[in-house]
Amino acid sequence: MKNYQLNVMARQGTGRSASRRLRNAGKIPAVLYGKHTKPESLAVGTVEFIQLLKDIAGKASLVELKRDSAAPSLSILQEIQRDPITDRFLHIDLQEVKENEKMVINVTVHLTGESTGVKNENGVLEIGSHQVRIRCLPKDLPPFIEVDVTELSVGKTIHLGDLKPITGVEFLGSKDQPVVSCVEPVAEVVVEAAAAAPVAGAVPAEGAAPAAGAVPAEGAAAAPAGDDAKAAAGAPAKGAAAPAAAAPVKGAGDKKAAPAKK
Amino acid sequence: MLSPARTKYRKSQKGSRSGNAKRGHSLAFGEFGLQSLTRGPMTGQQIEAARIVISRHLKRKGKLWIRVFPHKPITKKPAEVRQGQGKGPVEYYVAQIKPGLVLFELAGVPVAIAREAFRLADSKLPFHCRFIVREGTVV
Repeated sequence: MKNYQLNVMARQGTGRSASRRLRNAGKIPAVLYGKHTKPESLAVGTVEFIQLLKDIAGKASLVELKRDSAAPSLSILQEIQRDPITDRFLHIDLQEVKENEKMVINVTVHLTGESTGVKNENGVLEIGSHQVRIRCLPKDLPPFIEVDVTELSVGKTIHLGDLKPITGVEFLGSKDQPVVSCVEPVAEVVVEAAAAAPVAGAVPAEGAAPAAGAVPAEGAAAAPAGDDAKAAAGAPAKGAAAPAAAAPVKGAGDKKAAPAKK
Repeated sequence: MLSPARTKYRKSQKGSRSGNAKRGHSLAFGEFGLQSLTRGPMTGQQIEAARIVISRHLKRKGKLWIRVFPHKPITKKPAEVRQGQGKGPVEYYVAQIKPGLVLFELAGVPVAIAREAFRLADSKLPFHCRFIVREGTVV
């Protein structure tokens, strides 16, 4: 497998201020750690790192770190932190690996083929594990874990234990861990089931307070808006919870009566 | 309409929405997502409106995940009531949205359909959002 190269330099300052100065200077703070070495603070050129990520293109790969002061060392990209809004690189974690020592790494799952469930049964592929954790020697590191989904029909799941074995690679985790499944496109039902239960539950909580007359009124308005049998079912539950309480409209009347008392 | 089944306390203080989302800012389930860029409250009604517009555009294809839930009760005094006499009753519930939070996720549809569905959903929301794609997804 191809080794990628990255120039790194040692950095002196640590902490927020030093890291900010470094980022403003076009570098990314990084750390290199491993089983046999002490953690070392490094800096990486942003432009070079972006180019490296383009070359890697999501593959699991080994990166050879080149330094002026020390001999090159082999590492993996353990974690890349990015700003969620600006997408700017904040920090890189590099883990040193040895050629003759097994390492643990997350490898991306690649789906191949077109599922029969998607093709013929209008199903949707749901990826349970976008990445799979493996243990292997650096020389055996596969760029992807390929999963053939051609035979996958609706209702079927490919688990971690069903994956095709790769020489020198050990899959970590439970064999029952779902990797990819083909499901019916029923996202709406899941949401509505979650939505219907709270409405019914919320009413007694509000009904407990005599002053909270406005909330049942809102719940009553929600029931027809939901245009759903479940939403309609929420109405009797509400009525049963507070039979003595006034109807929503009456509740609003009570509120109007309150200032008159004052 | 989404609202909590039961709450420990009926009413809450206003609180603050400062800072960016520290969690829930990356795609966890799907290939495409709608990410907030500014902050604001998102009511249960808005979540429902966005969900409806997305599911109508998808026409029963794909799979949708809703990553936000309106936990925070918002109170309001009734009309024509003088000030005082305590806090008003709970009117509705909101989700506190900070910049960077992923609101919805989608999988199993082409990118053009996902983009249009999220554009329609974005128009229902009171803050700016953007369309994000999982790294490595072929678009």
